[in-house]
Formats: sequence, C-alpha cells, structure tokens
Amino acid sequence: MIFKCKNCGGNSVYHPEKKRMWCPHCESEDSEELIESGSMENCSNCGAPLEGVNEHTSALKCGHCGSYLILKERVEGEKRADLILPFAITKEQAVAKLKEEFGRRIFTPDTFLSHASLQLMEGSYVPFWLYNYLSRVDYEGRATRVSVSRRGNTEITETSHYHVVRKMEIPFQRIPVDASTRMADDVMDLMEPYEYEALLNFEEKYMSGFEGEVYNFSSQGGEERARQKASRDSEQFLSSTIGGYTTNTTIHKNINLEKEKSSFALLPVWVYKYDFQGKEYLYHVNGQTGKVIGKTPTDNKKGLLYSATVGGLILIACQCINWITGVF
Amino acid sequence: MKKYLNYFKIWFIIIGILLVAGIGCKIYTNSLKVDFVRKNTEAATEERVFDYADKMTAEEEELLRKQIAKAENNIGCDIIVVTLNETLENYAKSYEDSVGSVEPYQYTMVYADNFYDENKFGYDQPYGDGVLLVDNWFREKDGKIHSWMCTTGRVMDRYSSAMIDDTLSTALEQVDENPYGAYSMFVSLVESEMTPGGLKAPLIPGAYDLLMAAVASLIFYLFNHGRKKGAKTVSKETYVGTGNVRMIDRRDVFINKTVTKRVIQTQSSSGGGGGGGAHRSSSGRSHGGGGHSR
Repeated sequence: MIFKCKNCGGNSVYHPEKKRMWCPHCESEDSEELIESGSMENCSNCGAPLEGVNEHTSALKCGHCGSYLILKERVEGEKRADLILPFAITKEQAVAKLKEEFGRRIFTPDTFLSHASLQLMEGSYVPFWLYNYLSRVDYEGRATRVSVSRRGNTEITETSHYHVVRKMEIPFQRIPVDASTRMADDVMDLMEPYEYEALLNFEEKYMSGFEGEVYNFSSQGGEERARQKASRDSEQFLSSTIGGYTTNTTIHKNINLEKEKSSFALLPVWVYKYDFQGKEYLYHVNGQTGKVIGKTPTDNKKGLLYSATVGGLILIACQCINWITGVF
Repeated sequence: MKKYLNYFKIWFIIIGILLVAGIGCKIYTNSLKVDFVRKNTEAATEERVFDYADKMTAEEEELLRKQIAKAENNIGCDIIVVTLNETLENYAKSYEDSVGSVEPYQYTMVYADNFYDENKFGYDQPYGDGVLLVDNWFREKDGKIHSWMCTTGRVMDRYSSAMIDDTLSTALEQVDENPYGAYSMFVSLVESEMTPGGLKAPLIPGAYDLLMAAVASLIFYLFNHGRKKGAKTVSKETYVGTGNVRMIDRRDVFINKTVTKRVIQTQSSSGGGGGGGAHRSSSGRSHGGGGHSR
C-alpha cells in the first residue's frame, strides 16, 4: 500500500516536525489517500520489482521511483503493531545531531558526514517488545556500622550490628527489547530511553516515509533479556534502600518476576551507513530524542600527521622553555 | 591542508610567541658569556686532583680532571680537589702562631689555605680566583671527618658562609658511597654558581622533552582515535513510575555493639650541621671558606 497526495498524486509521507502527513512534491498537508493495492513483489507506484524485501520487511523505499511503500500483509492480523512511536526528528535534524557529535573528530575521513554520504541515511521503525513485570523483592541480611575515634593515644573502634529486612513490589512498565535480529542488541539498548508519553495506537500513515520491520521473533523470544533488565533494576532498587552501612552480608534474597503483559511496538531510529576502507560503520540516532550511537572511523594518515605535529610542537615548546628559564 | 592549518592555528601562534621569546633569551644568555684567559703563569702545578686518600680510580680522576678543565675555562677560576687520610692535628697546631688557636674542624682549613698558597693557585694571578676542596677522611680526636672549602678572589667574594655550607652539604651527602660523584657534584655546583649570568640546569632536562613529546603525541592520537559515542542513559527508575515502588516491610533491627581499643605508637627524630668564614692564612693571605663534618 502507498499514501498518495490527493492534490498532485505524489507520495505523501509523515513529517516528524509538522506531526502530520505532508506531500514533499506540492507541500500539501493532510492531503493523503491510502491506496491499498499492490503486492510484495512490485512497487505500488511504478510497478518496478521491489528489492530488499525479506520475511520481516513491513515498509521500504522503492529503489526505482523512491516512493515509500507499506506491505499490507505485514501490518495486519498478528503482525500488526499494538503501538507506534512516530518519528519526532527529521532527517535534517538527525544529520545535525551527527555533525554535532562527530563533526569535531579530526581523524575522520573527508567524506565522512559529507552531504553525499548523508543522503543515504534512512529512518527505520524497529520492532520492539515492551514487557510489564511485577517484581517482588524479598531480602534479609546482616549489616554493620563501624565508627573509629581516638582518645589520647588510644584508637577506639565501635561496631554496631543490625538485622536488615526488606520486602517490596516494583511494577515495571514497558521494558523494551528490540525484536530485530539485524539491529545489534547492545546498540538498541543504548538507544534507550524513549519517551513513552508519545506512544500512539498503530496507524499505517506513521510508517509512510520510513522503512520498517515486523518482529523477528515472538514475545517469548525476548523475555530473557527483559527479565535480565528487570532483575538488574530490582537489585539496584534494593541496594538503594540499604545505605549507610560499612559492611552488608546477605542471608536471603529472592527476586520474583511476574509477567503481566507484553506489547508489540515500533520505535523510530535513523540509521546512517558509512563505508571506509572496506569496513562498514553504522550510526544510529534515536528518532525521538536524537541520542547518537556510533564509532567514528579513523584516517590513519591524518592521525599520524596531526599527532606528529603535536609532538613536534611540544618538543619546540620544551626547548623554548629551557631557553627562557635559563634567563629568569 | 586548510583544515590542518586551521586546527593548529592557535597552537602555531602560541609556539611562535614562545619561539621568539626563547630565541631572544638564548641570544641574551650567549651575550653574557665571557672568554676567560688564564694569566697566572707562576702556579707550581697544573694538576687539579690530588687524591692522596686514594678514594677514586684512575679513570674517575681523569674524568674529574676533564670536568674541572672545562669548568675553569667557563668561569675563570681554578678548582682543586684534595683528598687526605691522615691526622692534621700536629700540622695545623704548628701554624697556631700565625693563624691563632685551631679547633679540629679548622685543621683542614689550615691545610687548604697553605696548599692553595704554596702552589700559587689562582686563574687570573697567583693567589687569585679559585676554590679548593680538602676532604680529609681521617677521623680526628673529636670523632669526626672534616672537609674544608677554601675560597679566594672572586669565589670568596661570591660565596657567603651559608652558600659554602649548602654547597658542601649537597656535594658531600653521598661521599661515603660515591666519592667521585660527590667531588664531581662539587665542581658542578661551583661552576653553576660562578658562571656569569648564572648557569641554570634546564627546566626540562635531557631526554624528558622527547619523552613528553612522545607521550603527548600518543595521548592526542588515542584521544582522537575513533571513539564510541553513546552511553547508557537509563536508570533503575526509567521503567518504574515515580513513587510506584511499594515497600511492604523495611526493618533495621539493632542487635548489639562491639568495641575494640588499640594503643597508637609514636616516634621522634633529630639532626644537625656546621659553619665557617673569612680569615687569613699562615702566609697572611686572605681566604674565605667553610667546613663540613660527618
């Protein structure tokens, strides 16, 4: 399916800044019309064969005409997302974020963050499972509080012993676990947090203008990572309530996680791929908050030239300082 | 290239200013240098190292001679080092008629003054500018080993008693373990003090500048090398609404208290030093000087 402009027939897309549908050809707003015809093999707009469609693709850009297409079979039934967090920053804003973070890195190749390279940046809705857990924490331990004082030439050490008990319930809401195997888990974890207040019920129009995927595995598949996150945070909550002691020994600790609900959501990420000397560098920008994740490539010739210059200048400075301090 | 020049613009300006100031200082330092010419042709000997106590190897003596020769040319003063290992009590007391009563710490003074005068040391003239160190390894009746720094002419004008004391204390600190090192340091200290305009050790000596440059280059490279951007920005509260954690049971029950006591041991320490001044030798010539005991 494809969203077309009623006024000019162009491809209407969702505009993150305007927060509404927009036609980049005639600049009409909210003039979209959903055309549901089309297949998984050919572009709904120009009929050209679609490239890059895999078993999880739900939205993509036609390599021939540049139209953004949504695959109907991937947004229906059990594959239909419960929630979607629409893009809040535009491509230009994402580029600006990248330049802000990496623009001052002096060892990067000249083509890095060049206009031509950045044109290849694409926005993508990444599938996430959001889990709700009720965590029950039960703790019992022994703790000591030590104080040292001095009277004359005598050092006095006083140790108070305590029996510590904690029982608490922590309701975790929407712990995210990415359900895409092509996105690295550690990178997606660093994309967090998203501001869930902006989550909406899924509508196809938010996907127009971006790429997208359905979940690559079921809700059960992501549970282990979600439980790890909930357990880690539960431990931290527990630790935060046992402060002010010198030592702390656990007698009994139990963290029980009861799953209450899981939802399928699509969260926005801008992805920039940059190839340098045969290696692919990936940069991710949170499509809502603008948080940037990535590692800059290094042009070693540049690095050596700049570093040698620094060394040379330090050497000259040392000699000058010796000459100057020889007088004063 | 434009990016490179732009990046280092401030660096180049700062180093440029430093370079101009540094070259100016270097030119000024060079202008202070004096070409001294030896005028004393009456000295009894050209020897400068008299190791009668045999505290140095032949190689060390030769190294010390070379160091002294170079230093003498730079400062225009004779530098003589004498080591002894014999009592000077009778020797010094035999001159009491001319120098007055002498204490054990002054035995080396009498010897040093006479040695200087008898050999007619002095760079500019006999009994002229120079310094002589006598280090007598013999333990006199007061139980101490005495040394004396005899100063004459410009060296006498330059050195106060406190400076002599400092010089001997610094130079002879390790003399028992390394006699050559101690005498070599004595020569260096005299050369440094007597050099016109002051001979100062470089603030960043030897290979340290190279080391600093290498370390700075490495740090700069590592700092700017491809770095990861992106840190964890979630906390334990991120997925739990504020105030939603329900504490069902929270108890901190006091059980008992234990007390231990320990006596703290204390220690104390103490130390000491010596001194000297201007006087006349047995031949009536004026010398400065000061002693050191160990």
